[in-house]
Amino acid sequence: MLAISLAGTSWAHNSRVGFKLAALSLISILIFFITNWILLLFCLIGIVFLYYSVSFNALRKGMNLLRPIVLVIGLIWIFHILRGEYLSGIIICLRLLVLVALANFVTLTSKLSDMMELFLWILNPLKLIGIKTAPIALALGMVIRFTPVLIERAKQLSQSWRARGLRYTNWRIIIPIFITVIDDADRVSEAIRARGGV
Amino acid sequence: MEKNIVYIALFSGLIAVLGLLPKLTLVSGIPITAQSLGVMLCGIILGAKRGALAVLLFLSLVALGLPLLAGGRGGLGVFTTPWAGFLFGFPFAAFVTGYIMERLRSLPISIVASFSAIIGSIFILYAIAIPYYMIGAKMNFFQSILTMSPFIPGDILKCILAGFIVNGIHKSRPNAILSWARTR
Repeated sequence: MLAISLAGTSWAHNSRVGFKLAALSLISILIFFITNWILLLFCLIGIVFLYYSVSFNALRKGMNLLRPIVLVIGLIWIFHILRGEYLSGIIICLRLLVLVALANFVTLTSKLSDMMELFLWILNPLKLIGIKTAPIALALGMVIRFTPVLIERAKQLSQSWRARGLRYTNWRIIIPIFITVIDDADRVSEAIRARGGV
Repeated sequence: MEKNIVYIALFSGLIAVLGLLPKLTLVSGIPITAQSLGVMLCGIILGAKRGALAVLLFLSLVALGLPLLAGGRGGLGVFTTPWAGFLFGFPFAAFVTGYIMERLRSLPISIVASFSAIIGSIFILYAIAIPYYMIGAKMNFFQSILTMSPFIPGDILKCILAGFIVNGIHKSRPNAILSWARTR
């Protein structure tokens, strides 16, 4: 199934997901106390090496993941320049880059199954207030299983739509997509109930 | 119970599917995706609680590392940008949209759906996203509005489309509009 994470056996892949997330949260807080742009630039260079220590491929993928936000960050910088706050603009933009790149690093080097295990563990306290976590785990699994199916279904529907003569699919395609999914949902819930329910 | 869980799960898959639909380019030249339309439809069709849960489930999977956001984005990084206020606002948007939907049952469904989408998925969403952006990017109110304004026509268009879409679904599967279902 589709996932962002890279397969690998580097040190970052082998360290525990909980540890990586804790480190990420700590660094994300600490980064707000750094108000020197040179220091932040060094952080960014450090992150490049961090990615490179995993593999060159990780560095490339990390760059790709950053591409969509570069424009946004550029826009923020322009606004700060227009206000004449050159330095604080640079600091904010660098800080954003560091934060996003670090968070992406954790995602790239963590397996989906490990992340899910940790997520369900974090949800454990919900049991104390009487919320069962088993249905949440079931729902997570269902989304992972069904999303590719639904994507395929949407593609088929728009293909048959085009085969009937409409050159471009427009918003109306959403209605049949929803209706088929609603029918699926009814059948799947019946099937789950038939097998003993949640 | 089973029905609720399955609807929540499949609708959160639908949010992902809508993110993959080809982009629409408005007159203003800003590309809009149908992803937030998915959030509106979750609220409208599933109602307040289930709609918000479907969106939360979707966001959890994005955070865990699935590239379900429009443009194939995902992972923890998308939650650290100043634009993440939109993501954090999505569950609230779906909740309010669904809540209004549940309260107004006597009017035609397309009108109620569009109205609740405008309140929940524009006003509430931007009321969360704008302050978040102001803090995250250190911008003032007017600069933030200026940055986001190109997206607002698209959002209004999506609210109107949501009305037509829900009308179509209601005609063929009236029982599927859980927000309007008589029995809970």
